[in-house]
Amino acid sequence: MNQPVIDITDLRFAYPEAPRFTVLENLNFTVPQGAYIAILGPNGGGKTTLLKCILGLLTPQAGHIAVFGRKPSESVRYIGYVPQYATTKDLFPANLLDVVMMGAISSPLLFPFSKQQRQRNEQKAVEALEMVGLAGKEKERLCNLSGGQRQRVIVARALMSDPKLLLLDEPTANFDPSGKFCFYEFLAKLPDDITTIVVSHDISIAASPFTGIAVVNRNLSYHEGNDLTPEFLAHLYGTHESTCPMGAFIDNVPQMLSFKPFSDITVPKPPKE
Amino acid sequence: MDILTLPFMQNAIAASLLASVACGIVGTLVVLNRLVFLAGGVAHAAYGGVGLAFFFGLPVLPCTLGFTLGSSVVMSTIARTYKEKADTVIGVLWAAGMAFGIILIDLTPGYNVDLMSFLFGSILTVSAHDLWLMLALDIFIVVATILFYPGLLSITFDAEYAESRGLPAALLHILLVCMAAVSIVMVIRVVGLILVIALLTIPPFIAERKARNLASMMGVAILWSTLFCVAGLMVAYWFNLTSGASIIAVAAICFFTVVGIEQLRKN
Repeated sequence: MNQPVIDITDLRFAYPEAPRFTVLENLNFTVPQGAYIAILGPNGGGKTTLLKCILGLLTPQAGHIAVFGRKPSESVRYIGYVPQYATTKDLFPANLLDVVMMGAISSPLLFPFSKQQRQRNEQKAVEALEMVGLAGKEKERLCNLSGGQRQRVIVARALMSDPKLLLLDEPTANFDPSGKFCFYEFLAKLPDDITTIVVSHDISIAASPFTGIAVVNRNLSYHEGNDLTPEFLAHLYGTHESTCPMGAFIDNVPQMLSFKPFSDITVPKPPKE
Repeated sequence: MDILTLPFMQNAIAASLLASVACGIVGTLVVLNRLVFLAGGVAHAAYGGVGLAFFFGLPVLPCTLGFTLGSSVVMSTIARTYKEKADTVIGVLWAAGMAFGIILIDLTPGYNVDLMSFLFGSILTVSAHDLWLMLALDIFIVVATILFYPGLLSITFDAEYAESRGLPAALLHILLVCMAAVSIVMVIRVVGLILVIALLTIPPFIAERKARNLASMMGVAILWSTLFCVAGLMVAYWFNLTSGASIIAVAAICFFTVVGIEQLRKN
């Protein structure tokens, strides 16, 4: 078996402002190369915190995280990140090419960039825009694009660093249902050597062609389809005690799932209460 | 055009140009990073440095610069560490810095310097020595901006992404706030610490409309800032008004004109 892309053991994290409230507890997770995984869970369940721990932006109190066998901070050059709320600066003076080329910035200083390097980056940015379906729009400004197109630009920026691991935080928060579906279809078509992890609170994305779904709510459980039951989801999202309209949707989720299971994902199941 | 032959007016125009370079570059970064409130806090806390200089008999500009740099680093650190409480803490430091300065000036024996010159500027009394110091500060700002352009561009567009790429976002943020502190100290001579925020924000606001990239936005903001300063000086001279207030009045008229035209086009 190849080295896992992400290997998390007994992770525990609490924010310094509330040290007694553990956001993540005894979390174990192993992700193989090429997986396309959704991490779902309710708001406040610790999804974004987990992502930031993987990125090395947050340091856990206990446990171990290895990304490509190294510390997260030593693996940044292999990771492409699409942050939540990444595209709110509409009037920012930059065309799409400029925005995508920001993905190539790996040093705060000017002098590592030569003219040849800039030309190579421009060519690469054009290719990245082609890859996300925005060919010919290099000179457009971000404010002239739809929400879905902007998100694709931010994905193109993440692809500029030739990532082996792509992490996306709530990438379709402002999408309509069809735009959402198309976006996840597009992610599924990225090259096989890119491992992709999408974090979202939106259970409806479970219908997209992921290889598996992880559910985070303080700890993590991994699902390949059959065990993602309506009862489990209703309990997770707190809809079991109410007549929330989402309940009806959740009832249909297992039928909607379209997994391409990965046999070598290993996640210990949390103990039953 | 007789006024251009007057030595104090020549110095004032030179000071306007030098201050405009700082305002255009740093104002652009302040506006795009949404640090206007923090810059306002740094500007008002600068009065603590003025008080310190008078109380201990130190040279005003270097002392104010040192104090302002210190307070800006403190504010920047707090703003990054306690994001949710940043505006409250900056508001407290804003008022505390001013109060500290006023108390020190109250305690200074024989103090008779016109307080208004720091609050509303005294561009007509800028000396050749002040101009050299302003030039040195401009060189620092221009060199730092060119050297750290990729980093500043990256944190300005998306600080979280920049951090995820391993860029030292916290240090770049401190650099940016220190550049803002330097600009503020310079511009206090031109329009005073109460009006400085207008000269830092109005030129970039107008420049943002048509700029194609960050560098061109800085360039256009420098031109607008120079225009406001020179036009404001002329207005002050012809109508015998306070120069700092006249500069801001010209800038504010342009600001409302641009906003008005935009609204008319939208409708």
